[in-house]
Amino acid sequence: MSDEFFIRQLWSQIAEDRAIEHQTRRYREMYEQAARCGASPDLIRDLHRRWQEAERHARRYHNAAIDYSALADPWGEIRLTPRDDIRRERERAEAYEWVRTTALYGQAVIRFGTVIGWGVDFASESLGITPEAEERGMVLLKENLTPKQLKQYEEQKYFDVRGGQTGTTYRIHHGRQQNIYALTMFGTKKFGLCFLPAGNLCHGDTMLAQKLTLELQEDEALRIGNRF
Amino acid sequence: MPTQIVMDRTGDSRFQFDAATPAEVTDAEKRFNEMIGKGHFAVDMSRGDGTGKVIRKFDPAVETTVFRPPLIGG
Repeated sequence: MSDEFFIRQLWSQIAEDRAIEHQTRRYREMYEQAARCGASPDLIRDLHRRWQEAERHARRYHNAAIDYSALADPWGEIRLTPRDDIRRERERAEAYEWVRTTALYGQAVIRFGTVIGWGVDFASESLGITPEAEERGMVLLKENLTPKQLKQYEEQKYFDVRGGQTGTTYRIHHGRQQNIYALTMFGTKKFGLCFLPAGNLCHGDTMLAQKLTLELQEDEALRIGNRF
Repeated sequence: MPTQIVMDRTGDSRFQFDAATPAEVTDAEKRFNEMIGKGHFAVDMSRGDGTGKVIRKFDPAVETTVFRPPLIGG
């Protein structure tokens, strides 16, 4: 057998397999469509017979080209698969949409809260605290920091204090709210602690009040402060 | 001269008094009790090294007293 003849035979076989496969699929689809649409029983039976014959022919002579899984349970396949697929797909889409909507809503709430926080902070600062007050507050703070804390604050904009009762190290950052973190023994953040003196004080006073409280009344700071 | 420093919205208010003058000491004690009554926390910062000590009772010998307002959770 020459190569050319062999190749021609092979091409012919492949083309025939493709045609049979296509024909079998067409019969199957027609049968499924008829069953789904409630066509007459005679038509359904006829299409089923054609499909089965095509399958048998393909199975006998073109077995490489046909997927036989459909033959295992043709009725079950028709009855369940398309609708289950659609249902599963719809459920997946709904779940995805729910997650997406929830995430977007959550983000919006967080952003809204942040903007409100900025607004309140800005309003309180601009309405109540003058630059002179800020300056006086910073002087008072610097007067009452230890040399080490002062150096740390001037270089890093934060300073560390040791809790009077537990010995925990707290880091007070420049700020008025959510500016305190308890540190682990490795110097990493353990948890945030938020408390401040009443009366809308300036930054310096607030940080000094936080320092004095943590050093001398740590239990009260832990009781009143909110963790974050 | 002993000084009482009250944290407030102006930064702070400082009140000095002469420990040798009874009237001034009386005023200072009155101010101290008033602040404590409002929930302030008094700290003796006389050492000048950034460390403090809690004061529960007025002491005219304390050189620098800092009053911290009551706390609120943030």
